[in-house]
Amino acid sequence: MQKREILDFFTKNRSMSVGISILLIYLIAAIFAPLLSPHDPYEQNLDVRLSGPSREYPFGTDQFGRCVFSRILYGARISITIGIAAVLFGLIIGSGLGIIAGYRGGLTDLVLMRLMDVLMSIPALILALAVVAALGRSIPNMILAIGINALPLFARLSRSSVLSIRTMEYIEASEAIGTNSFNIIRYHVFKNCFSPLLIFSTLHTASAILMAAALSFLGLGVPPPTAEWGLMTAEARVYLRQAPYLVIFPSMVILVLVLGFNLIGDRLRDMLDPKLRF
Amino acid sequence: MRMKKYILKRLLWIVPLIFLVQTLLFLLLTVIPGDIAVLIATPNAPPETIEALREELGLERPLIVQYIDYVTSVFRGDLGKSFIFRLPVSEILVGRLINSLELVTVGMMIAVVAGIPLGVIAAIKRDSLYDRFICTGVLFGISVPLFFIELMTILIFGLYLGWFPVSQRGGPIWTVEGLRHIILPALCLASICLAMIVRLTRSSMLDVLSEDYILTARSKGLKERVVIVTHALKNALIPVVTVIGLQYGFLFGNTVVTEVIFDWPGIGRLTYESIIMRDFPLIRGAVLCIALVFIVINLLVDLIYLRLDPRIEYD
Amino acid sequence: MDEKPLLEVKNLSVNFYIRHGVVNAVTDASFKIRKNEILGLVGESGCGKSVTALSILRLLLEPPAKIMGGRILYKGEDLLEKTEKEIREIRGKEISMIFQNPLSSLNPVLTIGFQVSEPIILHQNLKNDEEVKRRTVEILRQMGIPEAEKRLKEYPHAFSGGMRQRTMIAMALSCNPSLLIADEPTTSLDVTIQLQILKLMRNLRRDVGSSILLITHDFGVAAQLCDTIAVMYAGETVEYGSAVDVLKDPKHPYTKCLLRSIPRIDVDIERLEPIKGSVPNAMNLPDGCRFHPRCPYMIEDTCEKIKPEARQLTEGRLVRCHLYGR
Repeated sequence: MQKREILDFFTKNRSMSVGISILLIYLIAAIFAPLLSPHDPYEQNLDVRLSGPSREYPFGTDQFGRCVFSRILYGARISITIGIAAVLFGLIIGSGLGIIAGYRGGLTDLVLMRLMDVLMSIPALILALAVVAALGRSIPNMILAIGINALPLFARLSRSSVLSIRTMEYIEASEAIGTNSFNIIRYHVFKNCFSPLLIFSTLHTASAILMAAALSFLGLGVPPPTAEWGLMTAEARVYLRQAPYLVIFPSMVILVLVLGFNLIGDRLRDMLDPKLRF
Repeated sequence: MRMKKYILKRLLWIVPLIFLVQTLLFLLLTVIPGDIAVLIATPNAPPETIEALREELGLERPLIVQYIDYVTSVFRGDLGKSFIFRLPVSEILVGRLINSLELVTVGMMIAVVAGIPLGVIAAIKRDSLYDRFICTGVLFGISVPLFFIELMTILIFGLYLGWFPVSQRGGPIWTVEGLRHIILPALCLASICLAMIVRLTRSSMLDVLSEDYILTARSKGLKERVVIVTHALKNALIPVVTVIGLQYGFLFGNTVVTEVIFDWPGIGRLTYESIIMRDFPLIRGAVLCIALVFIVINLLVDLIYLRLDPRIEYD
Repeated sequence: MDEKPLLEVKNLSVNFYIRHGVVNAVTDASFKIRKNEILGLVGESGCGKSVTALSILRLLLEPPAKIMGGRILYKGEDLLEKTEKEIREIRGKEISMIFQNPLSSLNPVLTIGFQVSEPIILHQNLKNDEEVKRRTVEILRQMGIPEAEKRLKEYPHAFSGGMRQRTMIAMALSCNPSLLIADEPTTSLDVTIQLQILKLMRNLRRDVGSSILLITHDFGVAAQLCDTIAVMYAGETVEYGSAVDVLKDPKHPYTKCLLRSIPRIDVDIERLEPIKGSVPNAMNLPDGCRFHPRCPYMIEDTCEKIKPEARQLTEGRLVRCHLYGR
């Protein structure tokens, strides 16, 4: 019975099932990269440099004769990690700040929210660039640089939810008898905000992956020779004419992963909260 | 009267906002990196050279003095001197900023002019083949990495077909060369924003079309075209306009990628180069400049919004 | 009484095709409105009365709606057979409509003056802007908008609910229509404002001579205003007759139950009786008589099997019920 219901859900939600399938394939690629990849992603073989797709090298080889397919499989680990970690960072820190701002009110609220205004007044990619410029190139720094852009959104969302809950009678009652209402509020915020938080997290993961790719493409993400999709595209730029596949494969891989997150996020929004626009 | 007061309030808020942005940039780009003199000197420079550099840059002063000096000099219009170019930062920025504004604005205009009609038609012909095509296109548009679109554009229109130049600015936009040079980067930049505008226009238009006042308009005997253009579109555009400000910032961020790929001499590429060359005054100046532009544009968009929606109370 | 009706709806049937299936919103609605008459179309929410009203002006969105059958004769011509252009000529000029919620029926971003003058410009051959403006101010003033001239440039949000409904009525009457369709015009208003609006509509018939199709769920409102009443249940008109007859001597069990379930001042009822059961699901209507599962007078083996036809009892009195013979 339950199996049927699950099956029913997926046949009725085609875009959701496509999105989830994409995600599963990428997760498998990331987890089992060492088993699935035909070559060592860092092994150079200068005899076969810039050779097109073949049976031995499904996606061809790059300027150092490295197997593009293997590098793409390993790249999944980095992109998925950065995308999800950046959003988790924004979600946890952001909604934490929002709850504190809404709960404490007054000066704390003012200061925290103005701080969010400051973050919002710098375009996302520029802010990420500035953070990387300050901290240097590494995966944790990329996560921070991208995650910081998600702070204002999650902070505002949870803050407004706290403010609406504060006026509820049960909170007033609990404050009247002197119990600590912070935990009650925290619980209710997550209960009330669950669907928008879930939707925004999914959609934000999509843009976080795109931003990570852009940073790496600019050479301000992970340092070479790491197998990362944006970096691979950047390195292949010089060979655009001779070997366009070197640009096309990693870019397409990014496109499909981001598409997967967007498909799931869109569908979640339609199902859980159709009034949200983004 | 209330409107004037509101605008004044918004204008005054820019000053503390800029001050806060400066503080953030000072923390990020002066305090965190540590000894900047070591960072910018050649790897094996002798200690005397580093010492001299530190002296020259005023880095031996206490941080608080440097901070106050930085903040106050910015409000005097002095953004410091570039390490690399050995020129005042403000001098370098002006021309680059104008080039970027040109690129981003042309891109934005393309996106708006194309996006709004596409979204409106998709909403009117809801669930039609056209609508499905548009929705699929939108989904791809928001998922594709900008550099991929740009590299493919260069490959097809520049390298294979040879229709347009793929690097550098070709002079003022009203000249043929200027137009030929801006067309590809502006189109690429527009494409990522186009998807967002189409999607928002469509959903906003769908909301409006189900409103009671649309039924009222139809019951008057108005033509469907009048119902759509006069009664629906103005309402549907309100949320679209609010998003255009944010999209401007989105484009200003992404123009870094565009300018690097198309070798466009704008502030985005300058930011990128200054980061690569660790020219900290230049980074701070460029980021501050972009933030200021973004703040002003958001203010302008809010003012347009006020004009569009008579229900707004100014507070 | 044998005068030709202004509007006659005959066996109208409308379906909605939605994702989950087919909704039979209206299955058999029939009534007529004579010149200078106020007809009340009364029924619970969801019985299809609004859909019927929208069908008259062909304002239903197709799809999802589809008119399956029936005829809507206006001055002898079938509105359902008119082209889009012809029906536009009728909308706002011959037949106009006001809606339930005055708060959402006016466009928030267009001025009152613009919205009221729109049908005037469209349907009346006035020479210049001056005349359009004069007519706009005149109609607003007639509907009791104080300082009408000054308020032309204001937006709907500056108006109260009652004022907005007056504006809606002004807009609907600006071209002296022969028929005004009023869909629950007072439901969302305060009681005092309700009375003012009802008075306005009564005066309208007296002064302008328009016929009115009043759609309401409230027998009280219908009693105050209407000459004739048609009662609708689950997409069908079940009773039709003069207001006095229907209210004083209801024939159909549904009308009887409905009247017994509302408080009245003029008749002394000991206890209000709610109707048992609930309104049937329009996607799965009962066979036979639609009301039989809830009917206290149900005849076994008849009501649940055979669909009753509308029968004429006396001149101008129709009932769709097996109690009055087959």
